[in-house]
Amino acid sequence: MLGALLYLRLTSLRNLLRMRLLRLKQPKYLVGAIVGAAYFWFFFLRRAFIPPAHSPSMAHGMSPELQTLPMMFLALPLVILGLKRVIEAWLAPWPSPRRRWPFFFPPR
Amino acid sequence: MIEVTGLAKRYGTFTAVKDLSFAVRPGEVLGLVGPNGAGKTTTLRCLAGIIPASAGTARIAGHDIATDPVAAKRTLAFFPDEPRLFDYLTVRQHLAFVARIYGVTHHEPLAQSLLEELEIADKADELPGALSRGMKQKLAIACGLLHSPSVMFFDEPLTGLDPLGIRRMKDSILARARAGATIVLSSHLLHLLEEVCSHVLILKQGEKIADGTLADVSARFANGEANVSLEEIFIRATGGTES
Repeated sequence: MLGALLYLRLTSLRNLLRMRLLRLKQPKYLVGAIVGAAYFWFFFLRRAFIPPAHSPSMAHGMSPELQTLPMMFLALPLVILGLKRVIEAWLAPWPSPRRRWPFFFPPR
Repeated sequence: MIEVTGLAKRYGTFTAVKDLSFAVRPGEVLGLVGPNGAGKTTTLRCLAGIIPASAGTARIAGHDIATDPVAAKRTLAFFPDEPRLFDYLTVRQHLAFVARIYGVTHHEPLAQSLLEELEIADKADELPGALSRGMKQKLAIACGLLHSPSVMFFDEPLTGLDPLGIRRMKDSILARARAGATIVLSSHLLHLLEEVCSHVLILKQGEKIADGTLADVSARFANGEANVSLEEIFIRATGGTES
């Protein structure tokens, strides 16, 4: 039984990843993946891999505020997308499958 | 062999199935008919061990479904009207998973023959998202048949199938009954039941109104008329209403 469940989980995960990778052939998903990868690199991974003393921006004396600019630029589309979703959900007629959070959007 | 004695299912104060007793022998196909809300699906779910009965016993191939559920479930297959599939397993991988669950060794030749019989062999490497409603139903049927069950419960098995698929499913059910399987079939397609079933059980509001061979039940409600259809029998037996 454990073997069957492992097969289910691992095979599903492999197929899921394969589907996600195949989807990158479409430009909109490719752009999304590049933006997402850049976001993770600037916010999380860069600090882990490059010590602050060796960071090129610090070497040129760039202030921390200026350093956050590219991060903000990358995060902006995500914020806009999130706001768009919330507004769409609010404007959608009731009941609607687009309203995933009925608790936050009671019937008017 | 299916032996049901005094089966009842209650939800709070509502009784969905009352004191139901019947038996189905190997090679027989029992048609379970009744108006909406008569308790057909509840009965099938109790017999398949999906929900526990409130009272009574059900023995599947000699195993009590309540006290020996694993042994009983090894011998049975339940086919729901709405196929539930895994989003990220292909058709072939669904069969491989079911084979692992039931311990079917060297399942590939059997899986391939089932896929060919159900005419979905060309979709073997597709995910469920790429299949039509009827193809999903066929995949669910293939998964149920993989461990060669001796007892089968079909709940509206023909939903979503095209006319050719219905014909093939009907032939498949009859072939398996001839090979010795015990089959219970719930459907509103009375002309189909007339062609496939050797026996019929009519339920209304959770109670058995009539059961027996098609000829016996017809004779009981025919009022001396000849060639009365199952549809007419059904209407006479249930009074033409749901309540």
